[in-house]
Amino acid sequence: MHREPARLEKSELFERLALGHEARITVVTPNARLAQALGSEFAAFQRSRGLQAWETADVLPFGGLVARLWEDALYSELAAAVPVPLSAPQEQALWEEAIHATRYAQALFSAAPAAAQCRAAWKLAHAWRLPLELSRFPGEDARAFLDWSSRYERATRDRRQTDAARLPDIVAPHLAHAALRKPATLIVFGVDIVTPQMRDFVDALARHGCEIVEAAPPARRAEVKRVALTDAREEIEMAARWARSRLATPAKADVPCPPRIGVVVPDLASCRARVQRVFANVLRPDHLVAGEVVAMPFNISLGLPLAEYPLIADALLVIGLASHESAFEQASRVIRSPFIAGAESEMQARARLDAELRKRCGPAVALDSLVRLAKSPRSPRAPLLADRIERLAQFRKAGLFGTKPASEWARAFSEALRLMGFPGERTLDSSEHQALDKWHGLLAELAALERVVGKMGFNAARERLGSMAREAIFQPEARDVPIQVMGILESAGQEFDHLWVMGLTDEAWPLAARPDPFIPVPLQRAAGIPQSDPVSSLDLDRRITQGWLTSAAEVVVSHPRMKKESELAPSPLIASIPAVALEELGIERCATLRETIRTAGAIEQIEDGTAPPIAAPAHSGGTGLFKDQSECPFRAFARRRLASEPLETPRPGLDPRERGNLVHEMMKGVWKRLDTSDALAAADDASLAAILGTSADEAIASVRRHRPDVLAGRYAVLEHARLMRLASAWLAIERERPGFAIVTLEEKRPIAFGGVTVNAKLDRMDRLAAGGHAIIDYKTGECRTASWMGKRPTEPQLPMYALGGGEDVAAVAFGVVKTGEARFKGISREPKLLPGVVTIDKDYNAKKMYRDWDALVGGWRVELEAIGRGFAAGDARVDPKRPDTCKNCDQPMFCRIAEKAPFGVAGAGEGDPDE
Amino acid sequence: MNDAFRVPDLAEREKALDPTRSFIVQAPAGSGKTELLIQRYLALLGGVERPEEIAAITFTIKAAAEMRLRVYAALAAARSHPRPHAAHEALTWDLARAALVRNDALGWRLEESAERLRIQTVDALCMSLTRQMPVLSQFGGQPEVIEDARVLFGEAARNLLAALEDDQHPAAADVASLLTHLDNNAGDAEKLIAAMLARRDHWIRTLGKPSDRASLEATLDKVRAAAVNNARALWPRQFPAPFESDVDAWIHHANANLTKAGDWRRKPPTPEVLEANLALREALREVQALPAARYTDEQWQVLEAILRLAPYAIVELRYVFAKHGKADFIEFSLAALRALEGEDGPTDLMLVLDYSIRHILVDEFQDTSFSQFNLLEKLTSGWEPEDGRTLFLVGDPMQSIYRFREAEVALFLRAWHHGIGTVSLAPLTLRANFRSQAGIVEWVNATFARIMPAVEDVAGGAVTYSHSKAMHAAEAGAVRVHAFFDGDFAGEGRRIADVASAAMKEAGRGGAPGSVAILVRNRSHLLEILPCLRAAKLPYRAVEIESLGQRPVVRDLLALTRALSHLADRVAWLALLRAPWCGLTLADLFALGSGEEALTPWEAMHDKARLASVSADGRARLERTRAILARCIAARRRASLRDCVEGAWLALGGPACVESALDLEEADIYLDHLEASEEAGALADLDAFEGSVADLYALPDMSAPDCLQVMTIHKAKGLEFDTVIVPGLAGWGGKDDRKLFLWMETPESELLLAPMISTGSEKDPLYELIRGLDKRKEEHEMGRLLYVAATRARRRLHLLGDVKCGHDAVVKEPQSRSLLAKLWPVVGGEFAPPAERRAPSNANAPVATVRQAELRRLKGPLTYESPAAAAWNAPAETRAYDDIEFSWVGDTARRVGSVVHRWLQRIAEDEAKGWTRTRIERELPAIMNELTARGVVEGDLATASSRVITALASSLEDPRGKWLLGPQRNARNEYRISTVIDGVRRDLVIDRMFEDLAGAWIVDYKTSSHEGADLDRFLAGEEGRYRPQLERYATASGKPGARRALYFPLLKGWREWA
Ligand code: SF4
Repeated sequence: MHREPARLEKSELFERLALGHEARITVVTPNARLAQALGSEFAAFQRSRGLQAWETADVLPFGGLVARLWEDALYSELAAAVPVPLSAPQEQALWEEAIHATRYAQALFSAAPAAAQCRAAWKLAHAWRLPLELSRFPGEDARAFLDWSSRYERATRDRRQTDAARLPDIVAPHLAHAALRKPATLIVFGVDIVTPQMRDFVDALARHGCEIVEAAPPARRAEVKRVALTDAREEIEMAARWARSRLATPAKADVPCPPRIGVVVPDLASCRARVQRVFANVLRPDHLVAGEVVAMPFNISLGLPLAEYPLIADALLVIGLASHESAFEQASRVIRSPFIAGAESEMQARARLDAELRKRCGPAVALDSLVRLAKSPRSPRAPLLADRIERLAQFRKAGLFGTKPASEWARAFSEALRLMGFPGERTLDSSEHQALDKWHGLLAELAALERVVGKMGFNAARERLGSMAREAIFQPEARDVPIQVMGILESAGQEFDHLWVMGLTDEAWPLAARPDPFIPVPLQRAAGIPQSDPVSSLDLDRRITQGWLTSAAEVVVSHPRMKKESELAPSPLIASIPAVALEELGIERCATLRETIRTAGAIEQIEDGTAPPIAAPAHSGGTGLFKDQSECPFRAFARRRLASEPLETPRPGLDPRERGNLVHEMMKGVWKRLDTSDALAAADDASLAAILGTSADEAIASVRRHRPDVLAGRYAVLEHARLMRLASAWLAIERERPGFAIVTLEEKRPIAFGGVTVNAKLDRMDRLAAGGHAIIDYKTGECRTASWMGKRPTEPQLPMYALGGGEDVAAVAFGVVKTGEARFKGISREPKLLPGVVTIDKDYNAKKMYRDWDALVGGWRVELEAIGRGFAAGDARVDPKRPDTCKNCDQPMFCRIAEKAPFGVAGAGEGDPDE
Repeated sequence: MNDAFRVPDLAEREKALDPTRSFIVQAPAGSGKTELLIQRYLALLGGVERPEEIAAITFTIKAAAEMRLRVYAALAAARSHPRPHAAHEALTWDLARAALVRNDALGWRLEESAERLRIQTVDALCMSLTRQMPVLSQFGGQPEVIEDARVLFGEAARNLLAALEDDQHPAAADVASLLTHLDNNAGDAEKLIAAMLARRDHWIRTLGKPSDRASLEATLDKVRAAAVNNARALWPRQFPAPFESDVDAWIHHANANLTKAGDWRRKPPTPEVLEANLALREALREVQALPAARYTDEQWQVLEAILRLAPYAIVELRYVFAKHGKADFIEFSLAALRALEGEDGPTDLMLVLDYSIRHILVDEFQDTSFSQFNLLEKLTSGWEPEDGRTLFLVGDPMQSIYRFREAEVALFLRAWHHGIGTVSLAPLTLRANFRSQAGIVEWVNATFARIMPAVEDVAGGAVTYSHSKAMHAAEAGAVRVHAFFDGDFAGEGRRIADVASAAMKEAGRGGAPGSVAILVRNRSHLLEILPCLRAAKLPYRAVEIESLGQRPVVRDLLALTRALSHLADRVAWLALLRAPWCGLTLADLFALGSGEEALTPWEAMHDKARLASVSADGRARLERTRAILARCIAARRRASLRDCVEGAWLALGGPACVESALDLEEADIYLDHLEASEEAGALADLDAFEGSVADLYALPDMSAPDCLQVMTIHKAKGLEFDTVIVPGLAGWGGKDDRKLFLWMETPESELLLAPMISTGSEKDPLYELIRGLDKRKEEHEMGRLLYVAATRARRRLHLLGDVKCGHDAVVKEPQSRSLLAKLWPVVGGEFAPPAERRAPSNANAPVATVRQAELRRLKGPLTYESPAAAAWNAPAETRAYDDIEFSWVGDTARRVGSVVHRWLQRIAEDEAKGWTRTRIERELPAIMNELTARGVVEGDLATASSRVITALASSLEDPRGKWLLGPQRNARNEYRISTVIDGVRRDLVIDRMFEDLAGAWIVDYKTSSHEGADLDRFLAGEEGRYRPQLERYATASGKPGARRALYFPLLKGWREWA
């Protein structure tokens, strides 16, 4: 301030504030955090004087003072003369609108981040009085900004609106008016960078008789230590332990209150979660198992986006669910959300319902289908939920379409949440309460958007609300705590008993110059914006560093030696501070809960490979049981006796099994209509085409019952065509066969081996003109006859069919029905029974193991009996037939194969090539 | 350095420091190129206006950090140390000194701000460009970087496929064709499109130009003709051949001479002259494999569909990126390119950055990619010869091994011959090897001169060998080959352990302990080796080698994560009950989990009947587990999922179940990953998350000394060790993935495209033609990979390989895609003698056996005392939440309240003088303005403002109001005081405080409204609610005897008490 104002020590400052309101003193700070800290310090000062109550000191950030004076004007005769400032979302929306109105919008990925940058540039331009003139703005980016800002400016002018960036200039001319309550003394505290705009404002206040005084935190003589640590993890860990050690010793022997401890973390945003966790673990080692929210003696100055609070995230998901269609995973999260009606009482039922929906939905699900599926008698019952989403669907139909003003959407969203019983049955905790409060504020801000933007559609409103929730940084109100963790900006001007500044490497500090991208750099540099130029930015960071070094009795600066694999040097700004060893910091050891638990238990190893024998021979589930038992006994136990299965994840289209089912259904349909080789031969092209068409229709209809949303529309049409192609290629093979007649189609029959009876479904059995029967199993994936041979056959179903009935079986074969491949693969008693199917002596694998057909069949019997007996006896050993057996198994988590065969047997997890 | 060895390339090194000229430098392994780069950087610093004018581009972040450290060290030495004696050190000192003079003269203050040295990766450079050009880069604002964007590629692919059902979408028909081509397999289509997007930097320019059938087929003609010409030139004149270049006749001719497999025909026997001519056979094979001259209609149809879909896929991807606010590095580089290209003509960086880039240094240029190459072209566009701007590219094409990351060695060759853009580059080759002893250098010279191609081929990525000269004397035992047979992995593993432990006992160069590295091509090669090292009790550090996905502790945490995320995830729940912390037996699991009713395990755990059939021990275990999980489930989605999982794991005793302390770190890696993946306390896609866990790697064991390290050859690039062991040479590389389409560019930049074959059809010659090119490139790269591995060694190199060997001791050639196959011409001979000596072994016995029936679990409940909390007494929670509305609609009332308060304050300050209903009504516009400013919406404005007016007017007309707002003694409005309640400071605001004859008054305004009867009861209720608040006011204001009152202007209500 050019008149060289008086300077004040902090103690004098407090003395003057202690005079109370009569003195009409206002203190302004560069940011809210410092104002708050100063308030607390003043409170401590007052308390140390033995006061229980006192007149609150008027301490606020500069912007707060301007806003207050503006409000004074608003409640005076000046009301008509002052425009109304926009809220942050309103500003954002207006900038976006300005961007959309220009040709640039087309090419941009998204207008929102550009608008956010515009707001920053706009603020900078006003604070530093940069001329927004075309001649000074060369370059595409600068031009674009100029274009947008003139549109923005016009739009606000037309509506008599303004924004925080311009407010000081709007208020200043009215300062003479009595209604604007100016302080008698304005104390400017800890302001490092005085922008021209601020200087003008303060000067104007001075002209109206306000005494201007500057004050800054006192420079303390600190004991400064520098310590180099391995990496950022260790820095955080050590800082936390250091804070814990310091907490134990009060700052002054006579005052019982804990010392003030500050920890500065430069890129707090990127490691907030780790800092939070490490400090919590160190200061309250048992906090995760305490079973309740425990109070922590530290506070992190950085909030999280509101949208990241589970309560709010789910509110947004509920609103999303009210659209025509949502991603399945999002719908699923609503179904399982604890924040809707019935979440506790129907918790189990909803989980079951969700598991079922996963089998039947695609990656996107329409609200109406969801309602239908939830109410379907075939789904697990969750009536409360079904009822709620049905009401939501009705509400959607009744009103959630077309364009409306923002306030109506806000109301509609509110109503949608109410319909779903938001925020649920569980009692909200303190932070959820505050988040909810903030959420209401957000809805109100959404409503208020109608002042700047026109009507919008459901999706636009929903997305706007979502991005507002992501923009709004929220931190549940903190108690007064001794340890403050903060970023660089917040640390300015504060005083501590102990301060630790970490992460000061050469690449992190001083900060790189970061000129605003929308304003030409020379303009910024000429105006003296510190961040715009490497040298002035360095000067600023030097001052900040100096501030740290004098703001506490003990100051520790630290820097990591490594970041991932890179070696790092200390920042040049601290390199000259003598380094000390970690041990010299006086950090006490503290036990971790983990280590305590690790040494608290003893491990035993017991034999447990056998489950109770089966109670009755009959088992539902088909021949797959034998396959599982043969490949790995544990797998059979898990799947067949415990119904152990993983959750499915809806994927686009059908999965291989469903595509297989389609082909099976198709074949069934065709052979229902053509039951002999003669019928096939007799059918002309037209009638064949009709048969194939109808069969494909039927097949699709039958699979569609399970996957209504997936097998629909064009996809179903394509699938229909594919089935037709597959079937006609298949019929070409069948035409070459000697005479046959279908005996059974998709017939179910009980088959028993080794004391286990399963219900086997046989695709097809033909009576052959040459005598005997052929058993045929359609395959749409890989298949090899070798999988029938030897010990523990991996595909035992055909052998089971062959032995299971009373028929005289002369051939078993896979019917390979794939695009590009239509053929039989199998083994027969006599040659030429089926095209491509050979006798034992012609089969590469079979001939090595079996003399003849009877030996093969006999071998099958022995194996199948053994498999059945193993299952019946409860054999559940973790014994995969081959290492790669585990590759396609969904039980590795349960069977613990990784622990039992630590290296490599599990097959999965092979590294990528060359990586 | 041994003085007996004269540096052979001093002249080149000196030339390279000329700051006025541009160079491309081939710097083979061990040639000291980093030093050269630093010297050049310092030399340039001495001549620029601002340090930012020099952009140094490194391949990795680590390399950038290292280079910066070394530049710093050089500057510091020049500032404070005397000039050293050794010639090359003195040179660095001189250059640094000159840079400092410049620094001091121009006030750069380099030594204080490291960031002014623009030494960075190309990704960082792109990001710094896009940050300054939000519009030109089209980002609008800098997105977040996502290193692994596979999930987003998948999402974009799915979005594109969804166009199938959208009649309006212009791509619907093309999606249908594509699906038909792929057998209607949507999952495959998604994967292929996603893979195509992952490589979009390759084709995005190429496909940008319209490609019509005729011009593509014309290119095809040329390619066919070229192959035939090649064969024709080699065909001996004495034998008959088709005339001219009738391609189809030549194909016929080739088939007549070669079998299907590509060997000379036996019937009729091929003349010996032909048989001996391998080049001819190769050429004929190529002719044999030539595709038809024209696309089939089917091919063309699907190719066209793909070509039309590609731009839509890009659009979808941009949409997905924008939606998530993220972008991958490729997108950053594309955006930087766009920004540099500008809308009309190249962008002037001077305008954007306030400086221009005048010098560019690129390290590891052999691993540059197309997009990086483009970027260089753009950055140097408009440069004129001798205009003071220079390019300096350093690399070693023999070490180009990053094809899987899109590196193209051909670009190095192209720049070597033709420069970049308008900049021509003077080529320099370094020859000195300062790293390895002469024995190794000589072996490498001899070996790689044979292994690497004799002739350079730019398109095929073939690089010739360049000899090095050792600067260290030869020592004995430089290179050893170890032969193994028939999959004797155990033997190989044991040998590695032996060699390593012997080597670790040897001192390294310069007396320090010797360093040993085991270098592998694939991580999977290590599965057998690591157990052997452990068995031999050799501590080692493995860098990104051991996948965590398989580790028991991670599996258990994953089970816990899945179980807590979903109560119906049956496998996860059963796994949780079987895990060591609960350790249920099979019998108990069966008792709990079987049965007709479909209960979830969690329900079953509460089912009395089922619990009754569980053994007593099992029940105790179950109950303990249940109690802990019940707490977690009750508090689900309160804290982060990570905290929830970790809390459950701790409470269950997870840490007591691990085998070593290292496992706890692995648990941390998993938990950190979980934390990074979750959103708002839940996982968006459990499946994707589980997939990503497989990509986590164990941290190297830092407690192990760093003298034995295990890593991939790729990771070892740029490092050196005394002893290098390269095992598993016979191992396979990976499979190559199918791609939706392949393309190649002829040397004349003409394009050839082939669509993927349709599902179920035979191989397509056109696709195979282009793929063959790729395969050849891969083969060349294998040779280079070997070179990199071998040249890491300072003193000793051990090569281990395993080949098949029949009973007759005849060694079979290694599998063709193995490194050993490449090396075979050199080392093959060393396999025969051991093959004869070897004893028959049961080599196929697995290394580890499965413990089939074991159950590992905690013996009993854990007892321990939690470590103490920090010394601190938490102040009591002081906020009450009962007054929060459950709907925002109440907000309007709240706003009306604040506006009324504000006006009452003003009126009271005027002591109500001059205030009447009429005056209030005149203020309507102002009131509306204020309500609006507070966020009251249009529709509510009329009601809200009329309520404000009613409230104010009634208080002016109400006698009580008149008294209250009128002149009073010692009146205060909005009186702000601070006080301490229960040890916590609270700031209070008292609406109005004054004194009259009756004494002091403390009054709070309440703008509550009340509909219906029994106003009194309502007011009484309000009094009850606000009594404590006013009590606090009375105490804090130091007027405990004051009368307290609530005033309700809207209701003209009043409650007072003492
Ligand atoms: S993962 Fe392997 S061992 Fe485990 S159940 Fe499946 S097949 Fe058996």
